[in-house]
Amino acid sequence: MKYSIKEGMLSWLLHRLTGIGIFVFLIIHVMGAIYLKIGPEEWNHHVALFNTPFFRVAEVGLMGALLWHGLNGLRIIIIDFSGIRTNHFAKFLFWIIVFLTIILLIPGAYLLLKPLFEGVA
Amino acid sequence: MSYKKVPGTFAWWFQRISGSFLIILIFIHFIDVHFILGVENLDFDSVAEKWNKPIWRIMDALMLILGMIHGTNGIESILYDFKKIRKYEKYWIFSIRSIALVTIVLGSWVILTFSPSASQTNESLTPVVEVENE
Repeated sequence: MKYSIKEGMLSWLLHRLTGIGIFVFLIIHVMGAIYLKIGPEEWNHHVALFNTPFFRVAEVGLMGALLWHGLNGLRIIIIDFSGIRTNHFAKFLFWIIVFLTIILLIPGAYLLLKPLFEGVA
Repeated sequence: MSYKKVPGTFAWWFQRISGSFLIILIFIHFIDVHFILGVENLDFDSVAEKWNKPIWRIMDALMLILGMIHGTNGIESILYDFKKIRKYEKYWIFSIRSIALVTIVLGSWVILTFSPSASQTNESLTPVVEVENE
């Protein structure tokens, strides 16, 4: 029982932190898109920023945040609509999404960071 | 299940429905931008080519609107948990929704009015006209 409370709190806290992070990112991301209306050169200069080591690493963080938030959101939806209200079920789903986040983030991180090692970025 | 019709019921449903759509939309967007295209190839021409098809503009606009409202709902429910902040509810709700509205308006303006050749000084997509020989 002690563990289910811990996991519930952790998923709750991570959901909020990743949510805030994604929200702030989205606003900046949309503001950056305004360069499309300013001109091609300005836009190209803007997106060149993403092809830097700092942003490549940050993109792994973004992907992790999106994966966690999306999968945990699905977990909440499943708990809400399945009607199964046991801690065991919530905990079981928690470890499934931890597993899925890691399993999906490993190839994702590999693909995102690969250009760094090939000297492209 | 029975839910009382209390304030917040709509937000509750909206978070779940918009969240489901956003999973699909952002999944496609992220894979397209990072794994199919690659951030090193995101130049102006690639956007022009992509937004040449209306379906991408519709998807991007939908992602923007759903994402901003979903985020606004989320931030509001986080702030609502802090008693000290709750006192100034009127002000922060107004502020956050204003930011969201401005972001939606600016983003939609970019998505819907983007034109590769109209207003911008774009050389690469307009037909190349040989002006003169040296």
